[in-house]
Amino acid sequence: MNTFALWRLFHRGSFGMSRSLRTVRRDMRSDAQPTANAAVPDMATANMQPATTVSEQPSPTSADGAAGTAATAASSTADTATARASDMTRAPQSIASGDTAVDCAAIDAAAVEPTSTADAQPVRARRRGDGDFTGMLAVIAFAAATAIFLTVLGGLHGFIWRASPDHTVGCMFDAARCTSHANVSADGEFYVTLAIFACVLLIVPFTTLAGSAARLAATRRDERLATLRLVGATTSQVTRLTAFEAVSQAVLGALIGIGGYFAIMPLIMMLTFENRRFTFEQLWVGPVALVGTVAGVALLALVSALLTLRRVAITPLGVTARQGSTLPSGWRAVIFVVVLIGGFIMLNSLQLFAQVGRIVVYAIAFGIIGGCFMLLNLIGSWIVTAVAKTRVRRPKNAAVMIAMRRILDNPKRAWRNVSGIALAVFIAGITSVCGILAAGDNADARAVTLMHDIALGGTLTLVFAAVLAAVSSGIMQSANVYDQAAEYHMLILEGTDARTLRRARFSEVLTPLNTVIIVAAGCSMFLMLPLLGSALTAPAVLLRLVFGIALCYALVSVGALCANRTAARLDTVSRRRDD
Amino acid sequence: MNVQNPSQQFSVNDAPSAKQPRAVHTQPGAPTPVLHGIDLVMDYNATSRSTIQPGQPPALNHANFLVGEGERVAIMGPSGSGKSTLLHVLAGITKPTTGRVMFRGADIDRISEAERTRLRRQAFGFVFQSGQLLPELPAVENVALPLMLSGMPYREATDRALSWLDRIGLRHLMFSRPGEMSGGQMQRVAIARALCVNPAIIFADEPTGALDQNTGRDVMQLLMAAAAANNAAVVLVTHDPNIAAFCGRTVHMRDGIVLDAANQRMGGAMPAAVGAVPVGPGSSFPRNPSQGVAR
Repeated sequence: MNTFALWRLFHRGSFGMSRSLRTVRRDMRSDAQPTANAAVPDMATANMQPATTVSEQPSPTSADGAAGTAATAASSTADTATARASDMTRAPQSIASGDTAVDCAAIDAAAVEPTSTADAQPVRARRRGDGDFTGMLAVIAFAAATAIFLTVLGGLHGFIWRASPDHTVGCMFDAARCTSHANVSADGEFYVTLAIFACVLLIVPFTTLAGSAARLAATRRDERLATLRLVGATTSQVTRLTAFEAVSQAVLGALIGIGGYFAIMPLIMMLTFENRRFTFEQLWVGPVALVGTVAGVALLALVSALLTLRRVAITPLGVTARQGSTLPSGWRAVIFVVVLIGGFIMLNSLQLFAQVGRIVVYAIAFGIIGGCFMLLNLIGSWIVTAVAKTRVRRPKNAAVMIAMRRILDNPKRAWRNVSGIALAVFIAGITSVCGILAAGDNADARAVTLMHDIALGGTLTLVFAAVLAAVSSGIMQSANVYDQAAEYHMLILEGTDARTLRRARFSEVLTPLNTVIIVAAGCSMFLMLPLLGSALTAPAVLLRLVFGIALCYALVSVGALCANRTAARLDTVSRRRDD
Repeated sequence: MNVQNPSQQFSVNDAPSAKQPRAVHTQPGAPTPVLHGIDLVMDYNATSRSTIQPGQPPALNHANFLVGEGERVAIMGPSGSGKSTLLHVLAGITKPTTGRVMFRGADIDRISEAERTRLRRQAFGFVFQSGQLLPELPAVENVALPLMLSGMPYREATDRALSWLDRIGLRHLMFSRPGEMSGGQMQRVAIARALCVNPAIIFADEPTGALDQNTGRDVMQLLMAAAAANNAAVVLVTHDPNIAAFCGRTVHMRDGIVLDAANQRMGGAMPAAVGAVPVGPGSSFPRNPSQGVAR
């Protein structure tokens, strides 16, 4: 069976699904081993065919009826998956005896006659569109990541364009390769350095988002793939299906992201760096970069998907028992404090290095800031854990208890959710102090422009990081909603009001966010402490930082809101229970 | 803490109307009716967001069901017969297409969703086949959760939960999370959670479905003993006649129809089987005089 046909089986609606199932059965019969494996495809029929009588429907929103059928048999939990597997091994005894032809006929007859399905394995009607919805979330994530990546790349290109005599990268670093000699800006190379620094800073939230998108899609896919493996699909078929689906989602997202890049471009053209605005020519990265970006996003999705596929490929029951993760130890905090104090001393002694040269001073300053930046990443999960542990000792209500326990369940995940914002706030805090310097009366015009641009660049980095983190947070939250749909559904059945669960989700996101913003902003302000006195004379610059942080909260809240909408959607879908 | 008796939370408007469809015939000496499903029809085709293919027969076809205070009733039938649907309708989880469910004389389909949610939380207990414990919460907090949802402070709720874990012999697992427990232990914790709110009725949907025979029997003994000690009625859905034997009365279903005519009236005196439920050492359940009054 070719990959596209298998993919269609996973994603088509009810229309024609029976035909797809027949195709699968036929193809798997031809693929299956003659003896021992012969039973497997027929077991697939035993489990899949009756399901069509329940979940097959002509609803326009039922986009993945077939996927639902497959995924229905394998639940997301280890218990259910194991139960399903044991159910399959208990499939009609005659199958075990090897009389597959007779059993096929019997099973087909059972599928045709609804009342005969009563003795078949109970198959729960699947929630409609789960697979497509998570696929859509993954596409959105890839699109956001691509749009912001291209925008930042466009900014970098713009600075290179200004710094290079013939507007090319090669000419900027090697004058011999220049084909023309246009005027370049005085601090062009320094701006390029800053832009590269900003790009490096954005790598964290960018990879977090792209990674979470790939994980989200792969996790949902795992459920269906495990079922396919159970019913006899070969590793090769599963691998090709995974690759095809991951790449198609990534490419679709990247193409939408290119549209987003063009949509954002006019906004970037309104900003002034070096006292002039960007032009389209400066921000246009070129077709090669566009193709390269699409290919890169596809590759990232492919690698993530194939890595997560390994456990399905190893064993059809590719589900692991849920166990508590190890909490980070306290030595991280000690290292962080020591390095922070060391950085503070170094930054206040920069004049000692003045005679070595400006480049060295810049390198030291960037090194210290970069070092603290890395350490912030190291300490992040520890701080989040510490706060959650403190709050869970005496939670004021059930929502807080659930939220803190969820954070403690996986502090790294909670930190990843907001790490991009924390790091961006750290940098924006430092660059806003540069803005304060720019607002000072004593500086010359060139220095004022430079500091203004650094502050603006820092704020832009913060905004980009906030958008990436918000999308990432929304994606992760939505993925969590799906992962825990069964447990939360049970809670609602038992009388838990949906408001408590909504509050728990908000608390789960906002508690780490509050924590890391306070820590990140505090650290940056501590490093720039000697310069903070000037802030009293330039409140507008600090206000911009505050506005940026407020934007972070707003965007992340929107992400959590989206997750709650996802949960509400799941909760309200009417399902017939196992009888 | 201000949790009222759920049976007192219905307003006058919620009281049964004059158009009472059918009188409840109880035998002399039979327990007082606590829950009564009257002429229930559940047609998933009629649900706007149904996932069921049109043309399917109704999951419940004019079913009647009656359970008395402290009574234990098993519902049996083949797959697709409507057992779980009946249980969900009786518990107020799903609204029937037509028909009424009366809880202590009040129509639970006529109260708001929020009130029904509160009713489920405070007057009903649930034990499902699996997956009802939150995986991130340790056992003690899983048991304390419904109490906290009703507004009880954390310390008080966990103290009460701890006493329940003590009674079911799982105190040593108070800090263990569900992933670190066996299936039987998880079901025991689920039973403790269902009972800690002191419910009037416990709805159990295949509570031993994921357990081996011996563990299943132990879990059932625990459930029945704890329910008896709290005078809670039990509505049990099962495929297994051995499990159904723990109940005093068994109702059979097929194609959404309750087959037993005896279901129109109460089943008489409490069966000997219930009284014969053995209670393991460490499982002492003193009768709670405030039964049915959730906190």
